[in-house]
Amino acid sequence: MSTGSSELTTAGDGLRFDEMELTLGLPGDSHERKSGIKRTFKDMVDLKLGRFENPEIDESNCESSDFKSKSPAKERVIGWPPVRSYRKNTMINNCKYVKVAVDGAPYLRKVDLKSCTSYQQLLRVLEEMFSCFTIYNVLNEKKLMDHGNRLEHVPTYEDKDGDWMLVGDVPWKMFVETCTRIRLMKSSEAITQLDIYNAHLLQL
Amino acid sequence: MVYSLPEEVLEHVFSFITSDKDRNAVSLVCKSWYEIERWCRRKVFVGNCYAVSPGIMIRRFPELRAVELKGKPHFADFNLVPDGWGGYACSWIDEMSRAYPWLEEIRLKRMVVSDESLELISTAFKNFKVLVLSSCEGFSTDGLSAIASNCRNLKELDLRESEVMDLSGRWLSHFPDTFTSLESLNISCLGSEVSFSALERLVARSPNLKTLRLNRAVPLGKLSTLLHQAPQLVELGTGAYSSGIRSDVYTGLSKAFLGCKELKGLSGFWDADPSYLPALYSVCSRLTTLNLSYSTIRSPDITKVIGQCPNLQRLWVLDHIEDSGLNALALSCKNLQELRVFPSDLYAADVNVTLTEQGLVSVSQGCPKLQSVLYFCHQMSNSALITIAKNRPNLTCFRLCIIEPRTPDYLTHEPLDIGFGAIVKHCKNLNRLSLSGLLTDRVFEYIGTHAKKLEMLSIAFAGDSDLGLHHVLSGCESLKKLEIRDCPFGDTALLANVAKLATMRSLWMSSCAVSIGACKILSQKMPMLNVEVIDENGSLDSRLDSCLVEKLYVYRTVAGPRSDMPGYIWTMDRESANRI
Repeated sequence: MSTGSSELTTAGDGLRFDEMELTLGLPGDSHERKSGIKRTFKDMVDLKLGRFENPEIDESNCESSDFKSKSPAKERVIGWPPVRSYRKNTMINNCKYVKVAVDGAPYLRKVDLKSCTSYQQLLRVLEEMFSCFTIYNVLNEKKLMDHGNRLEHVPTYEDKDGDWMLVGDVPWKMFVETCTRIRLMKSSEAITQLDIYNAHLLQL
Repeated sequence: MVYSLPEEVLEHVFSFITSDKDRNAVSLVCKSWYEIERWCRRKVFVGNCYAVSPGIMIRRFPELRAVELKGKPHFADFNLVPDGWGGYACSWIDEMSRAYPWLEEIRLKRMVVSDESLELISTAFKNFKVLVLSSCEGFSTDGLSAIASNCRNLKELDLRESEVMDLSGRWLSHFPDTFTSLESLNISCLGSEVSFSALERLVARSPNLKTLRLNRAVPLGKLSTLLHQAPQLVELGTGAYSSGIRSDVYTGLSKAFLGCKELKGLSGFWDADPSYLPALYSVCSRLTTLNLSYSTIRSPDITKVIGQCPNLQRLWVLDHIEDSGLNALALSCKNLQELRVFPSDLYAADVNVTLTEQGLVSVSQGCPKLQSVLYFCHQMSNSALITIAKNRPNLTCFRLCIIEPRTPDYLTHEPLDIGFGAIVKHCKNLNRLSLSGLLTDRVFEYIGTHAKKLEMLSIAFAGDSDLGLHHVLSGCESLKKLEIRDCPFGDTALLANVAKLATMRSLWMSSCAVSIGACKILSQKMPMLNVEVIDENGSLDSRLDSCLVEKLYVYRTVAGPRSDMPGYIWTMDRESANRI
């Protein structure tokens, strides 16, 4: 989806779409506050994911119980049922839509995990979806680095067991298989929890 | 008296005869009519591009303006035809570029088209108007750039369901600003985003645009802009039909649809969000065609839309419509002529939609004009089929796909022979039939006895013996295309009906019981047929006559064996050539 403002046109009653565009954040937040403080998801996940960009490694890591518990695919006859590839490719079972919640947003979005082939691509899609964040980030890229590595949101997901996991630990394909929903957790909350956890460790 | 009519008069009379069948009949009356007719024939349909050569067509019809060609066999749609099989448009386009400088229309189906060919089309034919590429492949958006740049008088560009190498969306911007003749554009199969401003400007300067089918990448928020530029549209294919919760988008859309007074057909609706459906209610009363088969909206929402469309003639949906939706359809849409219900989930172990044979029975009862049915479901009964047949003797096309092969009548556990038998017995004008479920040779006896107008028959996982095939080949007088997979049909029936094959366009048999020996005999007896054996595994031992073939494609031709066969095809000629 295009984000350039030149692409936007007026609605019938003279309002500009970008004026009306819903942005994500707590009520009362101004646009200015959002600029310059957020680091992109890519930067965060980069720390962990380099090793999973190689598809060969993806395959060899598929040993978890999650992968094995996948129900055995029915013996599939070639070309049956007689549905054209064109239609098959756009059909529901070729998609895996999961909800994406961003802390502080008034509504959720849905993303098709199967339309992405890697974590990097997923994060690009998420960035586009919540473009009001990244527009400012892209413009202020250099400034971001100067401000340091403060994260606005941490990507987490709920797996089939109901546990909340950090995005990026498992191979991409396994992630697609096990992810049921995504939550972009406010880093302040994540850091708070982490502090509590670390505090417990120190006490041991 | 007829002999004294001057040529010009006859030619004028013939110009009113447009159907291919009638034209062919006219050409057979006498030699002079043949001559006059061939000089004034303007359009030709070639159902099998290998049945005739470009040269033969050009020699006979020197003044064509429109050519339609079909390439690969129908089962190529379901991945049964390996890559590299053929169907190349190249030689046709090359020769036509030299012979027909005034060619206006090219329509290709299941053919391989290259960018070079598209470029040639765009430069060789000065008055080129219509390009339809249906389920084609082999070209990229670069080829489309050439068409856009060079075809000054283009009216129609329709890429329906083709596989395009989508390099970028920039090709659309190549239509010059002076280009204003566009009437129909279908880019629904393209993945990448075209420049919206270029699209908008194109639509704005095309006052005759009647059909516009967008691709998924065109966001819903932009649709109203396009509709405001083209309120004269008759057919619209939306892009993605969701946009989060945007009341401005909804209002804009609603207003835009209100302005479209000519709109009769709607399609697209990818990722459809039901909350946006009411935006199109204002056009529903005029709708004759509705294709919701790419949307996953559920029965209650589908029902609400259908309830507003009393003039609906054609409906394509997913099985999410369920029996309840079909019952509603039967009540609201008395003008329905065609229904297609596609499966939403091909491989589900559990069936989670309530679509059964009842839905189809309801529609057959409630819709007196129903002629054409394509129905995917999980269960069927003979009694339902008999009811449908009795309700709708006016059916011309009946394609039933019970998803699990060899499924019997779920009530009686019997084969579905008598059910399909009732269909062919009552529906005397049936020209297309697809079978499924548990079927014995009996169903073929019924078909051979009653289906006298049947032109195309598709069979899968059915029958007990060669008798089944023999019934069909010996009984179905109008049969043109026969495609069979995974049936125990073999040499006996084939060799007992060799002459029949010369009256048909083509025969496809895969995973059946035909031997290479029979193929050799068939080739020898019938020189006007191309007998092509597909042997992908390379396991065929042609010295062993009893060896069974994987796939067989037999078609009549006046062009002799084709020269573009891939290595995995065996023919008698190749066999002989190898021996020399």
